[in-house]
Amino acid sequence: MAQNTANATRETSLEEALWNDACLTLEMIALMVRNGIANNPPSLRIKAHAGPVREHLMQRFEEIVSKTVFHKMPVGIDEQRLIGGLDLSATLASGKRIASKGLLAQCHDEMLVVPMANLVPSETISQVTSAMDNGHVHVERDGMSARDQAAFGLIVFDESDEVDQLLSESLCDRIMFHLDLSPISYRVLQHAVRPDFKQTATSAICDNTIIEEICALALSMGITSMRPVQQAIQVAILNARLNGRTKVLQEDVLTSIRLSLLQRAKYLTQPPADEVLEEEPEPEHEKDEDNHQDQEQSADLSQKPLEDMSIEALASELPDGLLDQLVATLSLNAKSMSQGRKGARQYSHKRGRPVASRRGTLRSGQSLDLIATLRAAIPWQKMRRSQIETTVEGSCDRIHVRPQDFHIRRYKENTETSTIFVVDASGSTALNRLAEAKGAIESLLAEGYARRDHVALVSFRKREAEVLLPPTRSLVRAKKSLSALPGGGGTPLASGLQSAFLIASEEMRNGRMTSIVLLTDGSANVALDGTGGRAQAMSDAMKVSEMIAANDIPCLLVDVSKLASPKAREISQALGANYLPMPFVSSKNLSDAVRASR
Amino acid sequence: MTQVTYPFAAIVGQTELKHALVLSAVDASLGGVLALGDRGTGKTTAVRGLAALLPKIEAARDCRYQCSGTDEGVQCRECAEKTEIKTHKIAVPVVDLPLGVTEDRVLGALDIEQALVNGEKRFEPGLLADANRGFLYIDEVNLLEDHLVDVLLDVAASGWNVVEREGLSLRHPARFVLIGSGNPEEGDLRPQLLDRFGLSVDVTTPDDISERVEVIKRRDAFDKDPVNFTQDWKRETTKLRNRISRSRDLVSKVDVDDQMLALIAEICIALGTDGLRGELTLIKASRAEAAWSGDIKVTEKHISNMAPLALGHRLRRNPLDDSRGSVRVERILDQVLADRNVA
Repeated sequence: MAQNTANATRETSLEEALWNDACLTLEMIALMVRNGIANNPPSLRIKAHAGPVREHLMQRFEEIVSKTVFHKMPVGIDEQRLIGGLDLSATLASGKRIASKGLLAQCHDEMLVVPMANLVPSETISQVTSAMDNGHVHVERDGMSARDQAAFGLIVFDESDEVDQLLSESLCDRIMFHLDLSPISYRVLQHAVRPDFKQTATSAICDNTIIEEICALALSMGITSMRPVQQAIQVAILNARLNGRTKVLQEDVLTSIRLSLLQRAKYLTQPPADEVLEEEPEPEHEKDEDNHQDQEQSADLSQKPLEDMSIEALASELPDGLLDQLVATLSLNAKSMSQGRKGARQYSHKRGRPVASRRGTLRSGQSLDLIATLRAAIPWQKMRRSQIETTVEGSCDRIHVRPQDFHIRRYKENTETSTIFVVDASGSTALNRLAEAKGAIESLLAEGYARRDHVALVSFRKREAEVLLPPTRSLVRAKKSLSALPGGGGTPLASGLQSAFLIASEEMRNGRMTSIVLLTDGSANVALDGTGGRAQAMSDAMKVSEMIAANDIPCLLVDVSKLASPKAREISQALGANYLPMPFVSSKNLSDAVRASR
Repeated sequence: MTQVTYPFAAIVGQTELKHALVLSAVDASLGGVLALGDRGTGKTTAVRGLAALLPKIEAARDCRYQCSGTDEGVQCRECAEKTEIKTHKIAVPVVDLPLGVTEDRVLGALDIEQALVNGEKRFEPGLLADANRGFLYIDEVNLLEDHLVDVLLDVAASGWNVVEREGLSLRHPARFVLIGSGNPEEGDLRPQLLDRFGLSVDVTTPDDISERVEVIKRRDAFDKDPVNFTQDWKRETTKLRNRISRSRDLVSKVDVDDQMLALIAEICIALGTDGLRGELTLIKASRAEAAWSGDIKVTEKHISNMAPLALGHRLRRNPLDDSRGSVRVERILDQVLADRNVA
């Protein structure tokens, strides 16, 4: 192993280091499994797409814990199947209430594997996390109530990448080990050997200085929740035990940080400065070669007193290139705090993904779930017959369905979104960069089209604003009216904002999530009534802005002036908008900003 | 399966949350507590701990709604018809509303087994019946489905659960303290539900390292030996329990004079809170706070302590000020108090 790393290229050494970590993690989980899954359930997140590397890891894991049963969670699992409920057919057959256990309860003392965990709907995730917290599933459904033990080990495949939905943070928070396999290529696996831990200790103690150290490190990574800290301590203890020690040392802390905390870091307190400020998408991992030059000295790190341990020290201990990798995920982690577009979902009666139907009265536009209705009616047949028998002939052969049995089909859809672009086409902007603004919008339109967003286009110049395009899904029309947009004249900012506000209110009434993107330099000089004069124009613009803000319409202001203009900033504050000066705008981070402002 | 719960008294920090929970136990009519905040802050631990802390109550034997033996206005029909009610001591019910709960289990429904076997109509009480005279705890309250929210709001407002189904018609008392917790990042709460909670608390993780270390240490000690850990905290627990009992006895005797009522009204007007609920809650909360400190008269201090908790979640969102509700309440409070002292 050691000779291998010495002459291998940098890439392979990173991959090997990651793979070794993965193998180490498996050993630790195996140790936990041996102590009884239900006593202390292990949990692991694997960041990787389906592929040979992931397969290989799982295979290896199944070999190590050969007696353990793995249950796979189907992607669109429904609530009944997940937590259990009344087994209607068995109940009918036996005349006794018979419960069916859900998947979570079936996994008790065994392992649950969740593929594509980042796409699992939040209701399902909540069920899983609540079972993880309590160690049991509490079922209160269909006239039965039960508490099934459900202390299961969890393996989660996180297949998210930058554009995708990210893994739920509340799940991430409860997972102990976090591995990123995505940079590993299959050829590394060829010469990987199973680490050999012959003498494991049955327990290890972790003294206070170590606990303090881990607490401080977690905080400096922006991890505020207490759960990850507890998990990291556990990992450190496991590492010590694997190495046959009964006391946690500093090297165990380093390992635990790497396996448990690093992937969840929101930021690093002392990162190489150029990397964190960088907003542009990371190019290749070419930079900061010299950051890792002191790599060889890292061996004596463990001799240093604990107080000297900092992120910097930690960074030098990390395998080459891992930090780069990490910094790229940091911006993602930070973003997941605000969870962009995921937000509001609506129940609809017409389209979307079907979800469990529920009891209700039939109204127009809704459809009856016949099976569910019959299921609801069947248990009560005997009772209903005995009520009716005397009055109606032959009622015994019929199924008696009552209005309260009716189940209505429901679907779930993402709320439609609507973006209103307000473009300043006045002389001052036209001179500066109207063309660039157009380009930025065009790329946004393309993206909006891909997501089937509604877009509207308002421009303002000369005396007043003009609605170039009412809300539409037609990309072609939007593009046409944009390219035909002339420039020049005064800046009736207030009027532009007012038009945008009217459209936005209408869109919100239609149940769409609406946001306004304003491109201007902020130098208003035409008031609402069409007269000139900077002071009046500015105060009008501020008034309208405050009105928009009071209605909680999310806004983004792109400052198109050459130098960042204080006026544009003032307007953006009144709007409660995100402010983005044009010189720093690339179409990529513009679209990110639009998404984040929703 | 008796699970030992982490003792309430041993919870590190989270003073606001603990205080709000205790006060809601002192005066059950306060309207419960809403705890919103970060992940992993021990919201759930605190609520579960509260259950073990509370003094036992006297309840009618063989009553499915644990009716009280004396309080005649709020008994179920059977208990109201009885001439003499035998009671026994029971722990205060703390009922979880689990995720994925169906309406029939919340409200109660016909007993399915009876219907199948004997074709008989028999009412099977739901979770609201279990929670009568106790606490109803909803974790992830912001993920609760709308139709369940409607049902809860209705019952919480009247204190009675009315069931009409299959020709079965009955009502039973369902007075409970509503405790909700959730993470606002995962979805907003409906304003009607928000308003229903008496007190609200923003829960944050401690950012002080020594406090965090203490959290970890105590949790570790508890996990290793829950029974002994609980024993170690028994004195503290008893102290708290006795203080709650004393405050309960005292709270009805606490006096709020006109001057203090005027102050409360002033604060609410200055804040522009909608409706009277905020004002009433602040009066009750101040009274409970006074009882908790052993006073029989509400003072300015009690009011200013409680205003952020009682009013923080009732403010209209101000677009120009995105600070947290409780911070805004404190700001206005300082103004009102300063003006008063000048006058």
